[in-house]
Amino acid sequence: MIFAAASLTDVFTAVATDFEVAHPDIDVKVSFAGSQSLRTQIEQGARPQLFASANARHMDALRRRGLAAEPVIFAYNTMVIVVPAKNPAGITSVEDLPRAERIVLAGEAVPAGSYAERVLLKARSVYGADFASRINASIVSREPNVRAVLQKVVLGEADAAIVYASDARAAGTRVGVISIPRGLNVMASYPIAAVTGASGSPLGQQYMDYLLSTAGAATLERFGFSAARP
Amino acid sequence: MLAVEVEATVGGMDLRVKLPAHPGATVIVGPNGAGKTTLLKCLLGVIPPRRGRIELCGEQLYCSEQRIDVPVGHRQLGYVPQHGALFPHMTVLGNVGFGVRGRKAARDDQAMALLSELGIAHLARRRGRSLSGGEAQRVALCRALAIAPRALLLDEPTAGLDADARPEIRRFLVDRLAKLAIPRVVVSHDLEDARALGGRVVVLESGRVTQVGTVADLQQRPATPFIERFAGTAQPMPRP
Amino acid sequence: MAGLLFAFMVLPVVALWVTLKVDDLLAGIADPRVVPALKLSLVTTFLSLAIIIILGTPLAWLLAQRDGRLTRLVETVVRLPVVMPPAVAGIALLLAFGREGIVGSWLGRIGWSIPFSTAAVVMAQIFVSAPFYLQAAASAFRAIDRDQLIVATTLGASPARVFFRVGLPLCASSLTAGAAMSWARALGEFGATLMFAGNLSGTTQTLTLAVYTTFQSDMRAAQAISLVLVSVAFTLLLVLIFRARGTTEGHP
Repeated sequence: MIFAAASLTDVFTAVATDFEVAHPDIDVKVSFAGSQSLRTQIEQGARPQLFASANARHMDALRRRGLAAEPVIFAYNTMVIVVPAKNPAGITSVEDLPRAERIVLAGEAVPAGSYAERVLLKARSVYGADFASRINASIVSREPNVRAVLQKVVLGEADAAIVYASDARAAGTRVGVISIPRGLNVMASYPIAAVTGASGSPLGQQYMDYLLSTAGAATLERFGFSAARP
Repeated sequence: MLAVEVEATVGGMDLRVKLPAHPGATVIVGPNGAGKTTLLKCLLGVIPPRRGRIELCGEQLYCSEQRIDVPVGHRQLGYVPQHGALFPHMTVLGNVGFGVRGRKAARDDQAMALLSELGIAHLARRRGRSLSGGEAQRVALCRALAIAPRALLLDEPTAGLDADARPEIRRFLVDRLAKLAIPRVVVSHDLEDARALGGRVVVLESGRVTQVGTVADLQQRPATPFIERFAGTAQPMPRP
Repeated sequence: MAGLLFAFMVLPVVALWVTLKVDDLLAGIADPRVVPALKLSLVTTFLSLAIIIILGTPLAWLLAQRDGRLTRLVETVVRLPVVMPPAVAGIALLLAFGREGIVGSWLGRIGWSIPFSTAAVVMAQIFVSAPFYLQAAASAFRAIDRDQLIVATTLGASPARVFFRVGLPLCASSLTAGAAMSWARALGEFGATLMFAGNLSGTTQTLTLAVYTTFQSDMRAAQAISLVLVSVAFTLLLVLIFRARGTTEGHP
């Protein structure tokens, strides 16, 4: 069993399929949820072989309690603005964000949510306090994971949201993608580590090796991530 | 005077009944499922007949040809269902006053007067659900009389009562109904009821009238095996 | 053997209480999300209950009076939300009342937008909890002795008077029990609310959503809020049950 952040849903499903083709005798199960939920589950006694988090915070918290081994960064992700395909608020840049009547973000405890907050904080220092307060007034929901955020935009319920570049790619043409300039953006790094006390650890090590191989990196890139290595 | 000629189909049972006008008591007897209660509900207006005519004292309550169908609430018929069907959450006074128009005090006065007249004023404060079967029947009759009905319909007034209460209620009914100058229709499966209430007896079998006459007629010239059994099980006519 | 199911059902409830230190409980209750969530939960659940009772009682009465194919169809349809997973209910509500939904897109043109509003919370609660009240009310109305209603009509009572003076009082305790079930379901509503109304403290974050949100970052706080939720629900249910018992014992 592997616990993986919600933003890894598509890529880990693909990697797991490839991995099973390479190792026909192994059946990989992956459970996806917000990193913070997975962390709480591990703290409450869940023992997956691997934990792939969307940020260092939740991984470090498990490390401090001796629940995770030394983590390895395997991928990077950046944030983008997504808007419904019709783009009703006519947003074309970060500066346009206050035009959105309804903005949806992930909850503060969700990595995608805290990354989005950091993007908005940087934008505030560039565009001013008024910019920030107008955006805050437009936030209508704090979703429990980044996929739920994306879904609200796909359904046209939200005018704009900040999600991972990889999620935006997964949504294809159902959303419009507006990139966030490097100066305002944050780099999300994905650590993966073995969970202490899990049974069947060899599988975990094999899967991790595959993820970090050239084949794994190619899959990560295909789904909009930047592979950390090789 | 109540004249009835109805055809109705309810739950697969086909009812065709023609009763010539009759001023007094009509006791309808018959086996279970013969259509006695259905006929009563046609008269009340609860079950719509397929076609026919119901005429009460010269007024049409129902007529399929002239498309007349007086609503249940406007027929002004007193109805005493099986077991009384009192409103259990109301007092006896509330039950009897339910159909009386006017202010609460006036309604209560009228209900109280009626209860006294029927000799059951002591029940006035009791709840409907706390009464015995016999008491409930009396209150139900009182409630039906409160609207000054133009005809009275009673469904199995002595059914479900214990053997002691039955003759008492029968005497009470005979006594009260005899004083009324309106048509009375009583559904019963008890020959004693039929005899005590007098008037004509109508036998209903499988939705059809098989005999009309006095109790003595039924005993002397039973038209069907059912009537022979029904009339035969009763006590012989008491000698005067 | 006989006690196994009972033990299984009691243990988690006991665990909820005994595994929390008083300090953690106090800290959890002090969480800034608790008071707005509690207020929102109480306001929305009672509002949805009021709407369910006002609109549902006449519907249940009508369903109990009739017995045709249409009646059975309507009854089946209003029962559907019970077997519908909450997530499906959320999607269904979005497709109907969302910005691009069947009714929602039309409402949008006159400037109304339902998702992410407190109204959406109430709507989600009504959708999932109304069947419990409707079913209880319809079967209670059906159990009334038909003769009582017929008598009332022959006594000249209008349909409204028959309903208010006879039907309603006869079913008061069953209706209360149905309302309690329905209210409890609305209080626990989670999936459809999250999908249709979103999750924002003070506007759409009910107690159940607060539990879920806190659970992601702070298990102890989540447990403390759960205790608040369970206490509120138990208290109000007890009050309703005792009141219902009071009315039936008053006139047995």
